[in-house]
Amino acid sequence: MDKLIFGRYIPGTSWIHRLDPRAKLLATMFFIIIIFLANNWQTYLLLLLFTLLAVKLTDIKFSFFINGVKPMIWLILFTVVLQVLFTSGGETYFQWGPIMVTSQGLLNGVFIFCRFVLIIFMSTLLTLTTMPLSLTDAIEYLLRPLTKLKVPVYEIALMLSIALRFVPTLMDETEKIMNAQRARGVDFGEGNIFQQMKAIVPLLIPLFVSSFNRAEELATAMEARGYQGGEGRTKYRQLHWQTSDTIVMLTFAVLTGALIFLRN
Amino acid sequence: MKWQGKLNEHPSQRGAVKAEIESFDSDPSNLFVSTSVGIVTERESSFSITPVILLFCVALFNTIEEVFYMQGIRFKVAVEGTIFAALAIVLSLVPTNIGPSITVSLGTIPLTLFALRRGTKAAIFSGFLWGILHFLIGNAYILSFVQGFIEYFIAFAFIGFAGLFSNKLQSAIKNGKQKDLYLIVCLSAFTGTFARFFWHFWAGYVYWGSYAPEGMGAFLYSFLTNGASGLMTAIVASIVLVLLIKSSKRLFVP
Repeated sequence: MDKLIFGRYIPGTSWIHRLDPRAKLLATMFFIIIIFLANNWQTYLLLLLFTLLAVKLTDIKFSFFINGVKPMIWLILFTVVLQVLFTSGGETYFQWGPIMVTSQGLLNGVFIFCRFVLIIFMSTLLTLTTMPLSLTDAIEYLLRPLTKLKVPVYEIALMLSIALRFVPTLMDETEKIMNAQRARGVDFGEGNIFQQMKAIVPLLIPLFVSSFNRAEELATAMEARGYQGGEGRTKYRQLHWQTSDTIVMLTFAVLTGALIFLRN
Repeated sequence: MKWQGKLNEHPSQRGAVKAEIESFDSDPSNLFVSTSVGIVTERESSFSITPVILLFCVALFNTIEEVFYMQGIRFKVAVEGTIFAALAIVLSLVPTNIGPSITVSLGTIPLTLFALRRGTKAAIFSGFLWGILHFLIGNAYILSFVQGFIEYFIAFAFIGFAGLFSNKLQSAIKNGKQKDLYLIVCLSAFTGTFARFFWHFWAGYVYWGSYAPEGMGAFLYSFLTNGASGLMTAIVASIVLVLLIKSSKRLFVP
């Protein structure tokens, strides 16, 4: 349990850290879309350089980005291998039934590997430099037009921030209860699977009971203070769109233009 | 399917889509361009995801609105769902990997309990929050737009269907039918987990399907990894929930 880190956010004051979360969220989403425009080495090189520049601007160690790729590496390699083995075209180096290794296949493999790594780098960059709460605010802002369709955007955002606020609390509590049960002789993470499952029952029961109580108290407090839903509520955390955010969006527009120009 | 008929009614549109597809060269990975911007591709034409997503969103937002005003104190059920979503993500952070691609999702346990306690709608809301939380705290693995959307906005909400057995469980508890309880809890855990992993499987298939020239390979791979994860999760969740209901039924009663 000690190894758990809440979220991936790494505090900092870099240029990217200071950007508006809306700009970062939009830019990341946009990046995931335009990366599919790349289809030759020039476009991939451009995206690679762009991403590395962005990574450099965050002042965060490169290993954090590599860590983001690690859980996905098997999926990526699987896809790359499929591409390499089943793509025809170009020079054929090896063939066995439907399986073949061709120059086109190898090239595709490299491209797809780059594509995934770049997408993961960009989404990791977003979560490394943006606090979960700011991200919630950004989502709320961007979904605001949906309130016209009667989507309870403000309420959903409020619930998300409540959930985020309770994550560290619940982690502490889990830790506390675990220690309390350890003191009573429960072994966590030992024995066979069935014993491990049995061990988490005395952890879950107090955790659930206290969660129910918390929820009841919180709902009562909201009711007592007359929470009326989101419309017209003022905010403690304000979002400020600055020139640098506009610069980011313009950069992405230029990048898109360059990709369209360079692609086959 | 309905939408297919619609597409046929507009041959010009279909032509445009075709041209769009053909304009990408034969590289199969390029097919995915069209998927990512929501144009119907040949592969997807057997079951387009877009109308499903729209329907889902409409139903979901109606559900959420209702959950906020459920019984007694306003927001009580919603806040409980929210805290359970937070609990689910805390438990999700505990690493439970078996091998490289099979994971047991411990968050299923609180979510299923909540579903049995408060019913399907509340649990769908809670599951929806759980999914978005993955994204917010950077625990989401997104490789494309469609895949990310399905896996984190849709899949987790579907775990709420564990709540279909809520009424049965409540009446079984009232009538003191101890044996039925275990069966209902297991059924509910399996239903919720499979509803969720169906979408993980589908996202995997749509996503890898656009890369693997042989559709079956992707289908099989996605089916096996997600199937195994789903099965393990469902089994673990059932056992823990049975142990829970054995020792304290009160948790399941609102």
